[in-house]
Amino acid sequence: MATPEQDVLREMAGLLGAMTDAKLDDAGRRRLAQLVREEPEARRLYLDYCQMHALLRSAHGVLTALEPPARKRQRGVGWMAAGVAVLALAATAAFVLVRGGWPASGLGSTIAASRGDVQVLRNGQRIAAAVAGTIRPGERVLTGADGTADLRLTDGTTMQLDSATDVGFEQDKNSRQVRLKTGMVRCEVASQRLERPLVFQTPHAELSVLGTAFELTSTAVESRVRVLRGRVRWTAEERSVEVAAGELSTADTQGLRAWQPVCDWDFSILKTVPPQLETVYCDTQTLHTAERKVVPAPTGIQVTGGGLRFAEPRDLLGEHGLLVSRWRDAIGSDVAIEVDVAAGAKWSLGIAVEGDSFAGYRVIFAAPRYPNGIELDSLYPAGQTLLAQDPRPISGERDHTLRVEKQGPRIRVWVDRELRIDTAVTHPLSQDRLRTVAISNFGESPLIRALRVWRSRGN
Amino acid sequence: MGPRAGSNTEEFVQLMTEHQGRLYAYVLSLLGDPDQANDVLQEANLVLWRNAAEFQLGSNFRAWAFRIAHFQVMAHRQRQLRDRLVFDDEMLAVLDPAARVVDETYEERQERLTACLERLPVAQRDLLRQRYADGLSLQAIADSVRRTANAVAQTLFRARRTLIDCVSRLAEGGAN
Repeated sequence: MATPEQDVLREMAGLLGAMTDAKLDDAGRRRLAQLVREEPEARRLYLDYCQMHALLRSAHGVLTALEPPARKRQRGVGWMAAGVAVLALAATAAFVLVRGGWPASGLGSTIAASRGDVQVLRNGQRIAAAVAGTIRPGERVLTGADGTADLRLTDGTTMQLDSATDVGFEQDKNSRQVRLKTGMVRCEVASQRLERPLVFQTPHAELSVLGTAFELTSTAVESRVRVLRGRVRWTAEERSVEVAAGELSTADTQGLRAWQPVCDWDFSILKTVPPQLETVYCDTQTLHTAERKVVPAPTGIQVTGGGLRFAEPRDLLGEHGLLVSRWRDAIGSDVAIEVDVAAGAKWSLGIAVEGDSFAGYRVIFAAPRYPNGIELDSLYPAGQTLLAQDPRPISGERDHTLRVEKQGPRIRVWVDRELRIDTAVTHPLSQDRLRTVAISNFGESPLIRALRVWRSRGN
Repeated sequence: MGPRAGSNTEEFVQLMTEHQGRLYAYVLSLLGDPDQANDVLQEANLVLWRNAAEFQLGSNFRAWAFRIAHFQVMAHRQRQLRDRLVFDDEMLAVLDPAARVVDETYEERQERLTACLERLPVAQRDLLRQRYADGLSLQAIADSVRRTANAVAQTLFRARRTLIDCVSRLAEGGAN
């Protein structure tokens, strides 16, 4: 014969089961409240039960990992058997997809590969990517400082997550969104339906995609998209632009800017220095004087060993001096320039905007005196005028993307995704200078893997 | 308004994510309705995020987050029709401190849950996986295992009850 306590617990079993499945009716609610109020044992069970429900919601990864391998295989076989039926229904399914919209799992994704620290944020808990299985809407993938991951969405879209990246997925009846909170993703987006594009959101802007390839970066101060193929719509602060292949667009608190490509060179593919670049030399003795002697130095920079590299002036010309490789024609004042450099022994590199390294503003990366930091200077009209500096060192142990962007008087300097200098320059330059860009040596040359230049679209 | 930039943000996000399960358990205990608990937890998360700058890293995040969650529960109760509430105000005053006491065991029980799950019969664990990891409804699980929804619900209850006993025993230094 059951004791009163056992009767209470038996009744609680039914009520709590219904509660966790959201099937508790009015009478059930009243009875549950009564038992919890009047029976200490029922109250304790109720509170423990709520906690266990929460614990199990967070134990997604553990539950999946504990699934017996044999059962996993069975499920795999089951899927194969189901595949026959799926094939039979394929035509119908395709019709439904085209006419009726995406299936509920339209934004589901799987982690095709991961390296280093990669986690999935699910129900508020972090789960190792290795046991995460399918990533569903509402969940996020986080890569650590040494982590990268390749994701494949159910529509065939592929996403490469760079290190220190936080990306989430949202979906409802009307939209499918990828939220890039921070970091960088490179995407190959499968063809999308015109009325329902895949939307990427960053803290600063929104990107609508109908099938294209691009690189999207989000940092605390700026979002940036570089379109590799196709075309995207980029919207921020009620302004919207189309960004085509090769173009770049940035968005921050000051608005949206669009840039058109000048060049995008991969020196691991190119065999010779592009003819648009003209290399010149000035010896150290006259460099800081108004009578500086600038002479052609066509062999001062060469494509070698999978990249572009400055020659050592002493080997080439028997003396120290500045080698400058500049764009031959005028590009404009508002430009963005990016240089990919390979990891290697200690190196330094100058990037000039608003003119070449003699006439414009020069940024020296890994400047030895700071030490290995960045300085922004000008050699015009003579001597060296220091305009800004950042003493934080740049590691030679890994590859970097060095970036200089000039918009009006504002110059911003980045190393990878980190903004290092953001300043307005007022130092006067010659009115008859060629408004171009340049790269220059400063001691040991790095191996330059790629050079990309954009000019402002006018904005 | 959000948290301060940089590593503080990361630390704050980490704290928020670490406390999601505890906050959900606390809110569910006060509301007795998982759907309402989900809604209130989302609202509480928004408030936590908006007020992140007020939180001093290194101070008691749990106390701060639970206070905000409590306010959100009270605000939710005011908006909700009375007959949709499981507990009255008097009962809520009893449950609130009791739920906080139970929460003290959360981390310890969470650590022991894996070992307890491993001890469960495979069939029960499989139902839990379908329910919590795959997110299937009771009826969908019942269809997949060719049982009634009621039978599946009872098995799930038994599994949860077994786990409660297990994590409690282990937490108290009992059976191993």
